[in-house]
Amino acid sequence: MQSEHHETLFSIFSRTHPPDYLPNGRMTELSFAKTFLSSLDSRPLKLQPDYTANPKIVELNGPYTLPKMPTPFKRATSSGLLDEAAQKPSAINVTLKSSRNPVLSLSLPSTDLGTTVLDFKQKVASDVKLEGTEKVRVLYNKKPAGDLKTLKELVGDESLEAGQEIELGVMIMGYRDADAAKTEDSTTKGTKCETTVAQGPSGEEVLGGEEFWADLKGFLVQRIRDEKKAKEVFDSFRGCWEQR
Amino acid sequence: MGAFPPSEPTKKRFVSEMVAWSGKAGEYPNGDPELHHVAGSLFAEEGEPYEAERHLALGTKDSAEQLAKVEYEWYAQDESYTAALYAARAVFPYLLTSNLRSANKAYLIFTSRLSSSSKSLSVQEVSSTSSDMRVYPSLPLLNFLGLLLLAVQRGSPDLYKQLAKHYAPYVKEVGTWDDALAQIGEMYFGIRIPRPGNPLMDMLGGMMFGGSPKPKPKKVDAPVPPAVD
Repeated sequence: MQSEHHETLFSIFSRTHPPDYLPNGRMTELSFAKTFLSSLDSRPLKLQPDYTANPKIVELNGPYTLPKMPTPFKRATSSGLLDEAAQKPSAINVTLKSSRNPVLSLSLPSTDLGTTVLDFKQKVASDVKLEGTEKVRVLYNKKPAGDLKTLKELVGDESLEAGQEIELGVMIMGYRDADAAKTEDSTTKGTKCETTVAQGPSGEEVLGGEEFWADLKGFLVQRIRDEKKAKEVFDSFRGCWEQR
Repeated sequence: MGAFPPSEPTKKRFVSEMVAWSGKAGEYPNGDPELHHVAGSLFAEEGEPYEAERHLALGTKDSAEQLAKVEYEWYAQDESYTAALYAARAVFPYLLTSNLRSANKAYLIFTSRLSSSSKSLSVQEVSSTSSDMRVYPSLPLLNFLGLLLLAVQRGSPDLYKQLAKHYAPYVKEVGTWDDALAQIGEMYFGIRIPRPGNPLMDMLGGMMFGGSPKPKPKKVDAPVPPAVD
């Protein structure tokens, strides 16, 4: 009876107080880490955890890589192993959508996953008859995407099924409704209108017109994603400017 | 680059010339990070981890994720105790290019994949006033990498020696880390690498330059503003 009681106590103790040292005299990982972290605390921080040397200044003798591994890397697609990438389809349906200024909805069925954001921008630009893609922004999950990103990178780890539909947001900066209307009205004026889109008025002329403010408001709403807050910001912007 | 068929032999040459050109012509002496990222991601996809490593190590801030994924996928084909060997393939190259951000990111992505895919793996949380750490009792070298990433932020040599002492037997077993660790010791902790000199060269150097020049350690204790990429 006595010994049983003793054993229970001992087993509770060893559960709540795991040994700091292994039988071979080495510290356990847990206790070493604890000791180490507490000695870290007493030292000043010299480099932030997100420190990076400026790659424009630092010249290296090539990247450092570790020596080869004994295990060859098997790419699943070639060896027939199961792999996430292999299960993914190579093309999905994409819709490019802009909710305002101009309203736009381009559907691109079975788009290759290698399609880049720049490709999408070019599609949009040619659809709204813009020269160049500088003014076109493509958003995925409400965040602007860089030109070099491919559809595959955008979608990332999300599981995809064949025939799935994804939507990319589109914004056209400084787009003017009036111009687009004229372009549609007469094709002869088309070229002239395009130059106005590309160059447009500048300085006071822009700030005096309603289009600029409408664009700004549109941008704020899209960026802040809160109509009320965006209106607040917009009103204070415009109020300040007009009272200057 | 995407236009090359996966096993086209001239692709590596093309990519390395392209990157070299971007280094000469552009503002990045080591080659344009965007190009490195795209090239590295392509190689990763084609199952060329060594080429992928070379490029992703010099890529953008998105490259860390790509590299961690490659290394993890590679690890998944190996024995479970080898985790740290693969994590180090991402962590060391970033540390040695003074890219602490990517080193940390790669480690975090690798270990979180590890935890989410092997639920039975035991993990213990340890925290102090300034740091948190997930300790893997069965994977000492993975803990070593995690603690090393914390230690380089402080840069005091005794921390490095403390780590080296505790993990020496494991590191010795790996066999291929000594060079990288010596360089990390020099860069971040100011522990000079003893350079076995060539006696003849030392003598010649002594005659011609009035004494053998001391090797200049690449130290990173004066942080330059981080790159905005």
